[in-house]
Amino acid sequence: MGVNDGIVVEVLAQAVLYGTPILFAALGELLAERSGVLNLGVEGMMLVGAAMGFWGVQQAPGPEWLVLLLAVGTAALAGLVMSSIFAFLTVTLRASQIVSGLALTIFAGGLGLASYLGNDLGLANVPAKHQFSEIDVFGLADLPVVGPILFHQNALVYASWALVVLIAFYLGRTRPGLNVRAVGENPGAADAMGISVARTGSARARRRCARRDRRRLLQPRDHPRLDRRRLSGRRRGLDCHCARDLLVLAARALPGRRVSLRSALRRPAVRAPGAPVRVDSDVLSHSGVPQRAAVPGHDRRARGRLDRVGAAAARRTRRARNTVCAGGALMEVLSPKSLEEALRIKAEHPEAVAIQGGTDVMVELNFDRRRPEVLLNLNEVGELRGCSRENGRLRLGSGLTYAEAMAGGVAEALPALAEASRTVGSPQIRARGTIGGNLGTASPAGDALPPLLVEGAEVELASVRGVRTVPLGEFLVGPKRNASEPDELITAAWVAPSGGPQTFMKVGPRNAMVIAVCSLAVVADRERGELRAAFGSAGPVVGLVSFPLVDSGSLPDRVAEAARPIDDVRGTAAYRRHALRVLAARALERILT
Amino acid sequence: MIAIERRLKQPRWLSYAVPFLSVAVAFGLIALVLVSTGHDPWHTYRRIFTAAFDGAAAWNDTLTLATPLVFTGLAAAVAFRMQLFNIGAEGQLYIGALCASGAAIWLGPHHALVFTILAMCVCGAAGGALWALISGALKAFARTSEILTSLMLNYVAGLLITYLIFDSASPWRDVSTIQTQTFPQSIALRPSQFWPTASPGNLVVPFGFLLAVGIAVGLYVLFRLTRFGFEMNVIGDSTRAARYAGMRARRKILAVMGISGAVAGLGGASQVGDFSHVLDASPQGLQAANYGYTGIVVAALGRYNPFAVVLVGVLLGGLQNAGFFLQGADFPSGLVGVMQGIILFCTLGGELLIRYRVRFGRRAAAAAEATP
Repeated sequence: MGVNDGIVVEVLAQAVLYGTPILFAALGELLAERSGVLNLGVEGMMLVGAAMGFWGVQQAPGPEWLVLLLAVGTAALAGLVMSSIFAFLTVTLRASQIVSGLALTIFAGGLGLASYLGNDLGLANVPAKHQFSEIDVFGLADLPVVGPILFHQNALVYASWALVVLIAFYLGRTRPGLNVRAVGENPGAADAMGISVARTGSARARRRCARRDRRRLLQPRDHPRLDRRRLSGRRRGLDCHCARDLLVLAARALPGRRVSLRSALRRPAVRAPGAPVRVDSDVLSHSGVPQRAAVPGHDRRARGRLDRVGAAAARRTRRARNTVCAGGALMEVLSPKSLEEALRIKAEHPEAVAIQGGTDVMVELNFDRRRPEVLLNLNEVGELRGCSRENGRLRLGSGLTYAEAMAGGVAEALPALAEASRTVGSPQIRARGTIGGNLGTASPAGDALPPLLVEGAEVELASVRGVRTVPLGEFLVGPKRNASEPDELITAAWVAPSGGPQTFMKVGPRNAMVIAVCSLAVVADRERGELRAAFGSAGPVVGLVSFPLVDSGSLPDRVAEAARPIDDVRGTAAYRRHALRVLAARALERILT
Repeated sequence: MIAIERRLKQPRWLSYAVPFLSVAVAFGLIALVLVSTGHDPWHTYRRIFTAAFDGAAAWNDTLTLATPLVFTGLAAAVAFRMQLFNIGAEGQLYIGALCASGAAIWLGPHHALVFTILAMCVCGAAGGALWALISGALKAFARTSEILTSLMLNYVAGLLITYLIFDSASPWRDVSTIQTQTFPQSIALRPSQFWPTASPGNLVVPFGFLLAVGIAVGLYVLFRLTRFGFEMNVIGDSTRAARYAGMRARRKILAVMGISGAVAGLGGASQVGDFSHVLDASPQGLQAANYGYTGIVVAALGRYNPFAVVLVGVLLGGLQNAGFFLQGADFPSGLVGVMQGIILFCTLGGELLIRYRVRFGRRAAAAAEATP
């Protein structure tokens, strides 16, 4: 009795055999997972494949090798049909993968189609007519130990090994295979590259399942009858269910998830010693205030330190005072609950930077253009919100967002301001950004400024010393500079709406999400017989032109003359002057006809 | 040519009409299958209806089958609502049944029924919740896929109860008679420990079903009226947005997995207290019923709305009930699964019509040209 007849060798040889069905199925599931599809319907597909494969063995005519080949083909075809159903549901009809997989198991599994076919085709409890026999394909079957284990198996076992190599090659070295992985890892990016996500998904779904179903043909060798209990899915121990899930697990865990395309593309960020730590742009709390700082790169110590700071800050969130980290230095965030408290804080900390929507301040923090020691978060100050009407004048709170100015009473009273608000950034920006912020930033390109200027708005400034109002024209003193004192906060803008026809226009490289290359607001004030126009992005501050309404035809020339544009990244002075002329002509046409 | 485009508005009536349409289509398809396999569809449908919903006896069976489905459906709905794919309701139900029967056996028959039920429910829910928290903690702290861990834990739970009843001398195992020594079985509940039923008319409504409806109401309140439910929805819709808003996804994952597991565990407790009165570890018992997996289908068809889950649970319970009734010499059991599968496919596929518009023929071509 040789070493090859020992129990250990026999068990291992059987292990290889029994592992083969799982290998087939795992390879199928691997393809599915790589294309981004979680297929829980494997069991149903396998059982139908098994029933049909066995039917092929029983029915096909011809020599044994042909019968077995046909049977494998039948099983694969049956699996393909099943996975087509699954692919149609999940890819074409976009149904949930998990639920569809379970539904497929109910449909095709041990109490469904497979059982029906098994009984109806008379397959249950009948011995198989043909079976795969072991072949010694490499002539190595007599080797001690490894011979019987590896080289005395049937054709399907060898086929499964070949398939491993083929699929590895397919996924790693061919264009369609790489496409599959791309679709699985990032469908959006794949779509942008021109790969058909739906087609890849369904093709994969079909092909992979076809393969897995051959596995059942192994059954005839060991149990030369189709086990009824197996068909009804009620075996104890490591049954088909369990096998299915092992496959899912194996497909997820084993094959090189280690180097995904994404992580391979990701460049490790290296931080020079002493370089400033960036506040991660997307770490914003609901109040628009950075809650936690993140560090690029792998500087563990820095990260640990910041995380501790972040955790400490998180513990203190309920208090008005927050500490966050920016530029490697601690930054205090003060969140007053009332205007009185806010003014007191501003008096104590004149250097504190007021933040409302954060659409301007956060950009500066993120690009490390500014490192304020104290941020004054005005989001929780109720007095600054909304708008009200007093003696025919409109009070726009400095916390009034563009989204609020776009609709309702404000839009009716100040149509040009509403038009301007609609052109600001994206819906998200419009929901956060505020008129007060636009005034505070005092950018020549501020979209809310020209409409307010043509309507003769006044800015209300408050401090612990008292409240004063300044006409908007005097408030704007230079590019990004305004006339407020360090201890003052902008609390509102006052406007007496003229009610005249008015409009706002701006020019940018596209129609949305742009900062104006130049902008123009025009109002025809019939009561005073005056035409007023204000232009933005064409001078150090937003400029105003006003003249009698009867001279309206001269508006384009007067605006172009008054503008003091410069050449910059967004446009040249000559272009701006020209564009203002065109805008003025259009605006006249719009409001006077 | 066919084009599928997203609807700008989803009319409310559509979300009610489409499921009915889908079921109608499904019955049409099933009729084809039945005719081609030599059965009379009309006759079969009448038998399904009679078996599932005609008369008190039919309803009693339907409710018996529906009760565990409602529990597992609710368990899945809680988790899936937050995009937390807890496939483990199956195992959580086993553990719930295990703990609940353990509580009943340990307490013995000499306590007030209310106390026994309370103890069983608490133990069942706690057991299910702890089992679910294994996956939950792995997800929250190690970012493991909860789909895989909860799925694999189902088998661990199944093998655990099999071991306790069949392969060991555990406190659950009944060794009092020669019969139970030969055919292993768990210690049965005494009649004084059976859960009560409500019986309006001839109908027998199990206590577990009422409990499930109560939980559905509780979950509805949780989803709609509490901050917790709101945060669940936000985290489900966008984890990043939730994080920016300062919501704590990790805690929520643990809490939601706990709730989900507790509901499934209660399902197990109700299974022991209401129906089987033993811990049925045999291959034909708890483990063959696939309550957990079917519950996921129930939850999906009910769109994770607790009340819809109850309704779908009852309908699916009826369908299963009809399936048991139908199968016999003239009606192969395999066709029952095929019928159920077709209904599920149609309702799942029909969901598309709610969110998308399908255009055919020349209009589709025109639409495709209009939107380059």
